[in-house]
Amino acid sequence: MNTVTATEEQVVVVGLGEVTVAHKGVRTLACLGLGSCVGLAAYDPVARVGGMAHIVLPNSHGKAGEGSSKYADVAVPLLIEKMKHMGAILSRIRVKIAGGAQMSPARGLGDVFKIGEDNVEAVAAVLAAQGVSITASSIGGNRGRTFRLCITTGAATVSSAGQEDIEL
Amino acid sequence: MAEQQVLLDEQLIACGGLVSLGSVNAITGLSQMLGQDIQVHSLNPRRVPVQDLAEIVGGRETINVGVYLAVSGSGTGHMFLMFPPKTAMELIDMLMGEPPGTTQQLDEMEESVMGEMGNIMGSFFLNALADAAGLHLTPSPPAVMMDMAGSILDVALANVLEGSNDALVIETKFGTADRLIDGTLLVMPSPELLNLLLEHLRTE
Repeated sequence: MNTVTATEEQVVVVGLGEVTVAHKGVRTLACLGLGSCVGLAAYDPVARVGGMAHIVLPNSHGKAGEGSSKYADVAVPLLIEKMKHMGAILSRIRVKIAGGAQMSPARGLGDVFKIGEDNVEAVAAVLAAQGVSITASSIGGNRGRTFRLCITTGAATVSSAGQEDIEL
Repeated sequence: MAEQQVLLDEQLIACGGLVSLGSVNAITGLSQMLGQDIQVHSLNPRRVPVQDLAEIVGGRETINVGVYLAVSGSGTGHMFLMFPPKTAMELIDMLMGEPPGTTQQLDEMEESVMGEMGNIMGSFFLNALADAAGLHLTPSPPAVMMDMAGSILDVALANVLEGSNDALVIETKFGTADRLIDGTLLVMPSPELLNLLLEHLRTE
């Protein structure tokens, strides 16, 4: 096995609406090209357990079942639960978020592009209800973001087109 | 759920003729605007997992220039006109009568040129479809973005995901015969709009 393949295997992409906790051997989790979506990176530095959620919509309005982890109110508790199963402890979990952009001022498109803001508000509210605070964030604005969580160090990095990467 | 999906696939295929009227008309609109012969390279109505939709334009992190239009009227939907940035800037040069390579970034003026292009293609697509099916369909004002494909598509994908994990998408690849200009028109009718088109076909 060559090095490139090994590296690729260690990066797991967390797709739209997915909640993923890194299993053994995964070095990085990544949410790619976040616009109005919110990427949530959670990390327990003692247990070295990390997970990400790629949140698309704010509120499930009680819709449960397959695919419901696209909603903030389902994704956040699910991610925390999955991390606890891997040995994380709630009081140690640090959460960072990125995304929730308004990609266009979109005159005449009403509130279509406001969904990013709604997503951020919903994520913050659900985290507060779980007793978890957000330690760092890169939200809003009108830029797309890729958000990566390094599982070995807990470093969370935001990349945007034409800009230097930012470590949260 | 599975049964409903099969039905929607059949609907998409059944509506293929109507939809191709829209695509061909949109490309005609672009040809007229550019004064160049633009051709439909491929027309592909299909159902795609929302997860995978950005793959059509190079993946979620690939930088695109995108023009978004929301569809309203008898039915709803989403439309995107997507170009690689280099192509978009070449098109802007062409429309502004500037030598190739003049446009290097998208400011207000360039965005408005791209917006107008989206507006014309969107209107031509919807007019053809609406005329053929006796519907009333209008595009919203255009929203122009240059960023990662995923971030451009997010707002529409979020809306689609509220109802289903799959998107019904009519993918039209178009360009000049020499392929120096290449672009993608993505139209995502809501299942309700697709039903209206199907009803029209049944009663025709």
